Amino acid sequence: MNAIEVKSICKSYDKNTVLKNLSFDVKKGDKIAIFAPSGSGKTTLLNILSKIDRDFSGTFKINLPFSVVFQESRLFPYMTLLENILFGLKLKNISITDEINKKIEDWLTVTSLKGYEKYYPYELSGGMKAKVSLIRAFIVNPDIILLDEPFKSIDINSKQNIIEFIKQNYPDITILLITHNIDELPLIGGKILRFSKSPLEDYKEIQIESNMTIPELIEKLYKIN
Amino acid sequence: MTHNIKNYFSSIKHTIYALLIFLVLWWILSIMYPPYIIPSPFSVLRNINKYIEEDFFHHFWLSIYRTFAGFLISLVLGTLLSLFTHSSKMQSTFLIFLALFQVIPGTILGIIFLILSGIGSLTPIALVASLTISTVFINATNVLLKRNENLEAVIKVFDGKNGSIIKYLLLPTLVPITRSNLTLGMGLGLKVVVLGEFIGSQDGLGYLLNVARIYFQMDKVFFYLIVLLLFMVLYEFFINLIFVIFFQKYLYGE
Repeated sequence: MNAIEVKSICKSYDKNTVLKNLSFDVKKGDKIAIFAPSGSGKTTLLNILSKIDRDFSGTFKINLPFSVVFQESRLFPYMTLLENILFGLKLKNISITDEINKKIEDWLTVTSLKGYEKYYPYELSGGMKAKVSLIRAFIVNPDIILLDEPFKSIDINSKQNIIEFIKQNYPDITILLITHNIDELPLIGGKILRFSKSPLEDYKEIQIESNMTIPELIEKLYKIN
Repeated sequence: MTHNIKNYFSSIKHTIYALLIFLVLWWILSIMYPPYIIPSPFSVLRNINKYIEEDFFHHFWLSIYRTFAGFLISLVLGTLLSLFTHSSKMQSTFLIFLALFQVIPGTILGIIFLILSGIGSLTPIALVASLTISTVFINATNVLLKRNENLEAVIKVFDGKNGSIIKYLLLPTLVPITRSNLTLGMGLGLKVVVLGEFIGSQDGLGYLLNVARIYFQMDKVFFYLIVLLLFMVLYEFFINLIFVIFFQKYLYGE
C-alpha cells in the first residue's frame, strides 16, 4: 500500500521553477529521504504535502494520518514546553492516557528536557525548541511523518540518541525526511532520492543501511554518479 | 513574570514623573497668567473640599458609566468585526470604510445622535462607540494581518479548523493590542463623552465643565481636569495590573 503518492507536481515562483514534474511513491512503513542541495525546493515540496501550499499543479495523495516537523520549531510562544507538546493531541481530540504520559516522559528523558516542562519557548535554546517540535509531531503517533531538516539545531549527541529512540519506538512509521545533511540520513536506513540540482525533477534512488557511517554514506551517495 | 512586574512598577514610576511634570508646567503657567485664567495648582488642591459638591460624584460616575458603556460596545463590536472580516478576507474593504468613517467630525455625529435620542446617556454612549470603533477595528485588523502564518500552518497540520485558529492563534495575538485599546481607547472615549456632555447634556462632568465655564470658575475647570487625569492614571494602572496578572504569557514580546 502506498502511504504517499506524488504525481507530476510542478511549482514555480514567478519564472523560477522549483518542482518540475516530480513523481514518487512512498510505501507504508518505508523510510525515504529527499536529499537535495539547499534552496532547491525541498521545503516547498513539504509545504505542498502538508497542504499549506495549495498553489501548484499535479496531484498527490497521503493515504494515512500524518504529522509534520518543520524546519523552524514553530512553537506557540504563549504555551509552556509541555503545553506545546500536548497541542497536537488536543487538536486531534486524543485523550492523554497513561501510555501517552509514559511516552512523553521517555521523550523528555531522551531529549534532556526533563525539568523544563513549565518553561516558555523564549526561555529555551534553539536546540531545545527543535526537540519540542519533534516530540509534538511524534506524540500524536502518526502513521506517516514528514520531517524537514529536523535536527538542524540539535547537537550531535542528542541527535544520535533521538534517532535511536525513534528507531526503537516507532519501527513501523513511514518517514519522509527532507534534508541536505548527510548526518541526518542514518535515521532512514532506507531509500534516498538524491537530487543534484534545482528544480527537483530527476533523482537517483539509493538504498542505504541505518548502521552506515558518514564516510560510507558519502561514498554510497556520490559513487553512483 | 518578574520581568513584566518590573515593567509594571517602572511604568508607575514614569507616570508619577509625568504627573509631576504636568503639575510643574501648570504651576509655571499659573505664575505667568492671572488666577482667573490659570489658577495655581496649590490653590486648586487646597480647595478640593469646596469643589466636591453634593452631586459631584453623581456627575462623575455618570460620565464614567457612559464612557465604559460606549467603549465596551466599540471594543466588542470592533474586535468581533475584525475577526469576522479577517476570516472572510474582507478586512481591506472594511479598513478603508472605517478609515473614511473616522474622518467624520464628532460634532456632526453628536448632532445626529442628539436628534435621534435626545439629551441623556444614549447620545454620549453612541458617540463614544462610533468614534472609537474605527481605532479598535484598525488596530486589531493590523495585528491580525501580521499574524504568524507558521503557527497557523501548525494548527492546520494537526487538523485544526477555523475555530482552533481563532482560539489558539488569533485571540492570543489580539491580547497585547486589546490592552493598548483598553487604555488609549478609554482615554479617547472619556474625551468624547466630556465633549458630548459639554455640547448637549444636563449631567456628567462635561456638563459641570460647561457650567463652570459659564460662571468663569477656572479653578473648578482645572479641578475637573485633575479628576479626569487622575482617573485615567488609576484606570491605566488597574488595566496593566490585570494584564500582568492574568494575561502575562501573552505579553511575551514585551
